[in-house]
Formats: sequence, C-alpha cells, structure tokens
Amino acid sequence: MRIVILEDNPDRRAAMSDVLADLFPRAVVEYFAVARRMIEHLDSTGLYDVALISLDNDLDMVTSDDGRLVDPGDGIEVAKWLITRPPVVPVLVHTTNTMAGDQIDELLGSNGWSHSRVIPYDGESWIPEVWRSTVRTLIVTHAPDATVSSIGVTILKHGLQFGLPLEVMLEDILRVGALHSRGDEAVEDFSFELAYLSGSDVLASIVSVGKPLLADIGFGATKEVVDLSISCLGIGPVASDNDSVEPMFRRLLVENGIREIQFEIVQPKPGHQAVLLTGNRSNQLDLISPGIQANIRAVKSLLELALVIAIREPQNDIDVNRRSELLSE
Amino acid sequence: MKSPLDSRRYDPDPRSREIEPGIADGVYVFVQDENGSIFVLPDGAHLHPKVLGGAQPAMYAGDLTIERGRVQDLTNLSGTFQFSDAEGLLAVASALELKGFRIMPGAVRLFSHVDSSWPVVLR
Repeated sequence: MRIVILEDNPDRRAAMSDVLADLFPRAVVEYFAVARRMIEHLDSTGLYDVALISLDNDLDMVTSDDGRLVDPGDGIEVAKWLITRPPVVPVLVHTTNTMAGDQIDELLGSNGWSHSRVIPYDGESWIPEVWRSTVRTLIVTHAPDATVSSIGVTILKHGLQFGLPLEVMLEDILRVGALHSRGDEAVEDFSFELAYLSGSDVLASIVSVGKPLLADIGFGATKEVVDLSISCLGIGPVASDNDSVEPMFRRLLVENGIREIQFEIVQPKPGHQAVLLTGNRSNQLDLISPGIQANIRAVKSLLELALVIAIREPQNDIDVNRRSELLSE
Repeated sequence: MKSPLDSRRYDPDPRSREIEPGIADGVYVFVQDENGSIFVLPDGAHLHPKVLGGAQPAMYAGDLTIERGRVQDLTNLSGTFQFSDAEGLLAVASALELKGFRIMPGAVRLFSHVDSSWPVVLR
C-alpha cells in the first residue's frame, strides 16, 4: 500500500509524515517535488498498489544538477496524466490555488476518478486537522480487499502458467469479487457481469456470476445502455427506480427485481473497452457500502490487468466471435 | 490487553464517552476497555491515548464511521495501540451489534501493522 504525494514544502512533508506514521504506520510514502518525475515513477510502478495520491498544484522552481532553474510542472499536469489511466486510486487535492484546484477536480471528476479537496490554512495546522481525516476516509473507503486482490492475482498467475482461456480467468475473478461482496456462497441475487461492445454496438455478455443481468434486461442491449450509465446514472450505484434512469431501462430493471445497478467502464487502453455490471436483487445489501465498492474496484483493476495481458498476448485475446469456441474448450 | 505505545499518562479527554445508539454521524476513534466497553472520541490526530487516559491498557482500539446510525466502517487503525488480530476486531463488531448498531456489509476492515499490504475485509 503506497501513498504518493506531490508536495515540495519540507514543513508540510514533515507534518504529513507525522500524521501518516500514526495513521498508517506501514504504508510506503513517496514524495515528489517535480510533476514529471512523479508521472514517470507512477508510469513505471503502476497504480495498482497505490492507496492514495495527494496533489499540491503550485511548486517552487528546482535547481538541476548543472545549476539551471527547472520548471517543476504542477498538479494539473499529474491530473492530466492520471485521466489517461483507469481510475483506480482516490485523489486528494491540497492547494490554495482555487482555479487550479477547480480544474483538477473537473478533470478527475469527469473521468470517473474519486477525488476530494482540502484547502490549506494556518501554516501546517490543516494537515492534522483536515488533511488527516480526509486521507483516512479515502483510504478506508477505497482500499480494495486484500483477499480479493491476492486471490485475483493468483488466478491470473495460474491462468497464465497453465494457459487457461482468459474467459475462465475472468469468470473466476468475478466470482471472487461476488462471493466476498455477498459475504457467503449464495450469489444468485448479486450479479457480476463483464460485457463487451461488439462491432455492431451490441452489448454482448462475455462472462457472468450470479443471475445474469443482460439476459434479464434483454440480451443484445445496445451501446445506449452504456451511454445511459455515463450520462444519466453517473459513476457509482444507482437505485433502479431512480427517476434519472431512462424509463424503458428502469421498467426492465424493476420487472426483473433488480434494486440497484452499477456500471463501470473497464478500459485497459483506448479502443479496448468493456463494461463491468453489478446488479443487486437483495434487500440485505447496499451497493453503496464501502466494502462492496472496494471489491468492485478491486475486481475492476484485476479485469483491467487481465485485459492488458490479453492485448499483449493476442493468442489469449477475447473476441466475441470466439466466445463459443472458448466455452467449448 | 495491550498498553499504549505512547506511555505518557494523559488525562482522559472530557469528550470521551461510551458509544451508544443515537450517537451523531461522523468518524470516531475507539478504545475497548478491560470490561469490553467501547469508548469513543470524535476523530483527530493522536487521540487514542486520551480516550481512556492514564496510559491504561486496552482490549482493542481502532476507528469507525457512523452514518445514519449505521457502522459504515470499523478498523483497527491506531498508531498508539496497533492491534492486529482479526478476532478482536470481530469481537468489537459483535459488541456494537449487541448495542443495537447495524454493521454494513464489508465494513469491518483489518489493516496490517506488519507490512504495507491492502486491508482484509473481515465481514
């Protein structure tokens, strides 16, 4: 679990380190004073073990080895890079620059990133008083379940080692997330489903766990379903009887006993897009609960990782046309 | 029972009280005393040693979030006590349920005090 911070002020860094040593004594904390270096570091180490990113915006010029003053960039630069990646880490913006903070919030929010903002005041007082509690809540709420993550990684490793069809691995990953979110082995009322947009803009189900969603709400649902999730439903769980849900879609959900639904875009890289659907028919569960949300994010991260592998290794690539072939193997 | 790593004998914070249903929404640090009673303080930096005060040992400690009267999360996060056993945290969850609190699914989260791995969701 890493916490990565863009902050060049030594006093602030010291106060942040004190707070984190008390709150998350085992977390690895990484500071950067130059935006580009932070981006290069995150690009090479990945985001999958990062629990939180905290961004200042305005940074002091730095002196290079040859004595020249170098522009350190800013938090906006990091945010622009982050939105080219899957939104798997919460971001806390801590800047007194209101316009820049607004811009970062807009960038992150419109691209599905969880983000919060604190405005520094009174020296370093704000760090134990407000930054600390926001860090705590973001990490506790968003950190994926170690069990889901570790089992999922094991599934991927074994699958690659033994050459299992990717579809089998994906289903196993969904199953782990569903079982942990449901809390027992009865997952009928809690569905995880991975779907692809096929060439004809038809949403085709690839794998699912629990009672399938797409089959119930109309297999062959179109791209409009996904577009609806983004434009009307937004990111996160939505009650199926929510007025903002398109009437026809709402009727299908209610008729099929689906109380809540959540769409997540799984996009390992531009042009490769899938949809993770989570559906809840249970009265005992709330999708909004932190544990379920953390599991959804863990599963989404693992699916993205699996799909990155599939893209790199074309022999494992999932093609909708190969679905029946893969299932028959 | 475990003694606080910060062994200074702080006076108990006057806001410290046993948790009861009806408590205001928010984040709290908690310490379970030797009798199993759970005392809380509104969240803040380095407050665990001031919940019971006097460098008293604890049966368990961590923090929790109450939202609409329900426990949204319950963790073992306490730099002062650093409890790491799952059983103790599950026992705190059960004690809260006995008090009448509903524990949300996935709320009970055990953070490692040994390495930097992700937390384990206990229930």
